Parts: sequence; structure tokens; C-alpha cells
Amino acid sequence: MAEESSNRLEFSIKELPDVVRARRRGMEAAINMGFHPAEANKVAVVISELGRNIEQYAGEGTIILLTHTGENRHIQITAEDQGPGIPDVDRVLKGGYSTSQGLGLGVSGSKKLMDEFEVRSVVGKGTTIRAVKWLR
Amino acid sequence: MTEKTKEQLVNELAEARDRIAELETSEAELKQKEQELRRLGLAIEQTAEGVATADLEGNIQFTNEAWAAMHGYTVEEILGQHLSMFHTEEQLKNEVTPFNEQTLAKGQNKGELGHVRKDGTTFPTRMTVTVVKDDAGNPLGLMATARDITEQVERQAALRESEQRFRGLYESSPLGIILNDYETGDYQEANDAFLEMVGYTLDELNQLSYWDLTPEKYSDQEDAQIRSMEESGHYGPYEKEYIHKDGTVFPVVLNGVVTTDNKGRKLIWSTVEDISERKRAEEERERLQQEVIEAQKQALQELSTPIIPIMDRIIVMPLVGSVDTMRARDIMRRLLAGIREHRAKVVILDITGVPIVDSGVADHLNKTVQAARLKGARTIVTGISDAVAETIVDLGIDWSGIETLSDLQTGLVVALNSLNVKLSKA
Amino acid sequence: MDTMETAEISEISTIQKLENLLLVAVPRDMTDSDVLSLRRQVLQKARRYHSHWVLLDFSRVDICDSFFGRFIQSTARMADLMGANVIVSGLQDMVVETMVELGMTLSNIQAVLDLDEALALSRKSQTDSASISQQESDEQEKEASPADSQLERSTSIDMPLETRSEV
Repeated sequence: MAEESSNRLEFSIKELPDVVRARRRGMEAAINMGFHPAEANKVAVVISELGRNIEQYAGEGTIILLTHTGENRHIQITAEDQGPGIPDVDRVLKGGYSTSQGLGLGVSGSKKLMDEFEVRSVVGKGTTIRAVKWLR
Repeated sequence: MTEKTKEQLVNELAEARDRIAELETSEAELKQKEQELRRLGLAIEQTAEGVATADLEGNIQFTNEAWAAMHGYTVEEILGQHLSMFHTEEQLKNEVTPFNEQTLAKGQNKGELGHVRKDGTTFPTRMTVTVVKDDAGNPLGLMATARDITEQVERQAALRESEQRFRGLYESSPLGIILNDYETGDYQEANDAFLEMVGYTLDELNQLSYWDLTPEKYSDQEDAQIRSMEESGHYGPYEKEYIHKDGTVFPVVLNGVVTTDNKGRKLIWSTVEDISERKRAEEERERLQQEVIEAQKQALQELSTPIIPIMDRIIVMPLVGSVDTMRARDIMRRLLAGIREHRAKVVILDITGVPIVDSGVADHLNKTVQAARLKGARTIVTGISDAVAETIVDLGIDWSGIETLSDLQTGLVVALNSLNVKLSKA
Repeated sequence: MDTMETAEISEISTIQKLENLLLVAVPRDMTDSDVLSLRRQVLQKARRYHSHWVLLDFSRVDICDSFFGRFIQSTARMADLMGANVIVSGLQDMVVETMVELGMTLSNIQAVLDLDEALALSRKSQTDSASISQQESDEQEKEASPADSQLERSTSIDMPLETRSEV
């Protein structure tokens, strides 16, 4: 009998200490799920990047962590804000380290570190970024 | 001679006529009684019950067909004999004599008596013996009815035997056996094995239902079992857990059937097997298996990607076999760990044994070299064949940041040079 | 004297002079203002001690995002302008893995395993610059016992402070 369960952690992001707390808890959760420390580290960095973007460009937002155990173990990060939005998402996602600045860097870098990456953004309304890492 | 007067003659005639009328009535009554008797006789003759009459001493006056046939005789063979002909010596001593005493004392007796047939075989009967009395209450004789109850006795014996067998099974079974009320789940019966399993006495258990012993998280599964019983009359195998009296929880497997008692109440018989041991063994086996798999994986990784320290601060990592994303990740991790452990300043990464170097592999190698540098180690990639060199350039892979050399030996020399170590011939 | 002492960063030993090297034990989880403060102190002390080398040691840092990358780059550029070389050390295995995955390779900054190596490097450069004139005449000597002198340099180091790289 395989038991499947989901755990949800929600972090309100207003200041950088919130980002620090969220990424720490995220790394812990990933390790507890069975992720290799290096993979858990990537999860922490993604939370850090997305959290910083929220704090810097939107002022406030939320980061939600969903850990799913059972058959298809994975961790999902959702970063939401009602900030200014990202004008050209495609360009941002394509950008490399050397060409991007700030927000773009955080987003394009995060994409490289995760298995699934989705950005939904409307200028003037806000941004939701969803990223998933599977436990192989 | 006296001449009778006309009057006297008329009177005599009248009297005679009266007498005749009386006689005719009596005759009619007699005839009726005869008919009744005949009908009674026919009934007795034809009934399936064995009927016999005898005098008070037991001498047989009459038996019907059924009685004779029951004993394997014809009616003729029986007449004139004594009732004791239908019993063995033993039966007479042990059963008949006490029975008769009761009969004579009470005027009637019923019971089971052993009889014997003409061929010597014995059989059980159910008998009713009545002392027939006249109107004054004087005993006239005996009347006996008998029914061969061989079948019933056999059935009863079989039932008792099966009941004993079941009881033996129930009592000595290593499995728990329980009986629950279908509607309420209350415990009606439980064998010793079950009581020991759950830690309750039968009295305590009678106050509980299976809900009291089942952890809440099984409520959905319990419903499923009830549905199964409604559909098919049985359930299981059903794996769940029980709560021992002391609060500990242990795993069990149940199988059960629905049954009804003789009052029509629905009940469930279930067997309960404690599978703690089995589960523990399973978990242990799985854990060991996992350990073995992990150890094998480790060993395989180490075999396929050894790190060979050469001198102080130089390590060689020969790669053999194809490199996919997962292996590339492992290679990088092993290399970084190796650099840390050996405090290596130079890494010679030999790819002679890597069959295909495409853009994916080249990219992995690139990242590995960058990572090694961040750990303070310089990486020299050796073992690049002409073919591989062609591929890399043709694919437009940028390896400008990577130091490459054709073979291991040259790589070693360069490494040693960089540490200001020169080898001289002995 | 320095009027701007450590404000947000609580550890006193975060920045320490060690021979001609300025050792910076970078704390983990710094805020933007922590970064500005640290950077300022590093530059001030580098100037004060005339340090030739600034060692940014990341042994305590386990989460290194692009923000950290920018901190390293900007500090390096500033120190460089002041005539000091910046080295990074102590980067943990899993941090390094994430960094190269991100493309954050710090290719313009030298990296060493730990403090021992950093000191070896700084001493070597001192010796090298002092012996440039003697290099040609001493070449035979060096060839005779290169291994010994190398080992000597490594083992003669007596550390009051040690940073060992962690995983």
C-alpha cells in the first residue's frame, strides 16, 4: 500500500529575511523527501532567486512549496506576486548569465535548475512562476 | 292347557316386536361399531408407525405391518411371541427394564429404546408405550408405537462430531477466530488466540465492537469490506491494524463470511492473522535489498569512475563508458569530492574510454572542468582521439577554456611540471 | 582609527589580516545592507593593511544565488581597482555544482580549495617576486630538490585560523 501525501508550506514574502527563511525550509524539505543535497541546494537557490525578485520588484508576494511523496515524488515551488509583471517573458527565459541582469538572471537561472518551469505574467497585474523538480 | 287370551297374545307380540326393534337397533349400533373398529383397524394396519399390542405380561397380541417390517419379520412370524424378542439381552437389561418400570408406574412412557432386527442388527427407536385401561381403570394390556430413528441418530452424531471438530479447530487454532454482529460490529465470540492477540478478556471484548479496536484511518476500508459482504457474502483478504489493549498498534489480515443464526440475526465469522512478524521480515528484507542495491550502485560507480591519486595533489580520473546526464552528474560529484579529499591541485580527466563525445558530453565535461576550477584544481582533459577532435570542432562546441592533451602521459608531465615536480631517472 | 565598525555583521572575526592576505569569512544569508557594509569594510581594511590579496572564504555559505555572484564580482572589481587580488576559497561541492549549472563560473576570479592554499599562493607570489632576479642562477638548485621545497612550503605553515572546506 503506497501512501501518497502532499505537504504544503506557504511563505509570505515582504522582506529579505522572509526569503532566507523560505529557502532554508525549502532545502530542508527537499532533503527530507530524499533529494540529494546538491539537488536540494538547487531548490533553495530557485526559491532565493524568485523570492528576491518578488521582494525587489513587486514589494510583496507569496512563495508556496508543495512536497509530494508517494509514487511520483516531486517538489513544486510557486512564486506569486501582484507586481509590475514581466514584459517579455520569452526573452527573459532565453537569456544567459552574462547577458541578463537582476530579474532576468534570477528567472533564467531558475529555469536551468528545475525540471519543469512555467511563467505566467501580465504587465501591471502580476506574475506567477511555477517550478517543479522530480526526484529521480 | 291354558288358552292364552287374545290380549296376552297381542302383548306378547308387542313385546316381541319391541325386542326385535331393540335387537335391530343394537345390531345397527353393533354394525356401526364394527365399521368404526374396522376403520380403526385399517388405520392401524396402514400407518407407517409401528404399532403393537400385548398383554400385561408382554405376550404379543397384535403388530401392524410397519412394526413387523421395521424388525424384518412378517406379522405371522411375530404372533404368539413375547415383546422381548425385539431386544438384545443388553438392551433388555440396560434400557427396556427401566423403561418398563416407568411405564407401569406412570401408565405411559416415551423414550428412545434400542431394538434388534431378525438379522441381528440393532437400531434405535423412539417409542411410546401406553397401559390400556378399561373404563373402570383396570389395566387391560399394553400398546406400543415405535419409529425407527436410525437416520436421526446418525444425523445427530454427525452434527455432534462436526461440532466437536469445529470446536477443536476454534479452540486450538493459531489464527484468531471471531464472531461479530453484522449490524453493530459487537463481538459475540472470540477464541483464545484472538484474545491473546488483542489483550482483552472475553468479558471485556463482549462490551466492545470492532470499531473500538480499529484505528480511524481505516474507516474507508471498513466500508469497502461491508460492501463486499453485501455483494458476495464474504470479505478479505483485508489488511488492516488492530489496537491492542495496551494501546500499541499491530498489523493483521482478516477473512470473513456472513452467516445467520437460527433466529435470523446476521453475523460475521472472521479469521484474524497477526502479520507483525511477516511485516517486520518484509521490511527488513526490503531494507537489506535497498542496502544491497545502494552498495552495488556505489561499487559500480566507483568501478566505472575511479579516482587515482598520483603523487601529492594530482589525481587521475579515467572515464570509461558512455556518459549520459545522470552519469555526468555523478562524475562531477565524485570528482569534486575527490579534489576535496586528496586536496588535488591538478586533475587529469582521461576520456580515452568514452565512446561518443557529442555536444551533450562536451557540455557536461565543460561544466565539470569549471566546477573543478572553483575548487582550486586545474583540469587537463586527455585522451582525445582525432575523431573526437573532429566532432567537437564540427559541432561547434566551445572548448576553448579547457586544456586538452592527446594522452595521459603527456598530461602527467604537464601536471607535474605545474607543481614544480620533475621526475628524474633513478 | 576606523569609525565604522561592524554593524549588521555580528562576527568580529569576519575580516582578519593574515600576513599579506585579508581573510574575509563571508557569512551566509546576508541582506543587501549586510553586503554593502561588508564590502565597505573589506575595502577599508584592505587599504589600511595594504593587503595584496583579499580572500573571500565561502565555507559558511551553502546557498549561493546570483545575488552572491554579483557580490563576488563587484567586490573583486573594487579590490582590483585598489591594487589587491581577490581569491575565492571554501566553495562547497553542492554550491559549486549549482553555480556551474547556472553558468556562474567566476572565470575572471581565481579560486583555491581553502585558506592553506590561499596562503601558499600569497607566499609563493612574494617569494617569486623577490627571487625573479635570482631565478636564472638558482634554476639548477631548484631542479635538484623541487619536491622537498614544495613540501616544505606546505608543511611549514602554522595556522592560527584554519578554514577547511566542507561539503
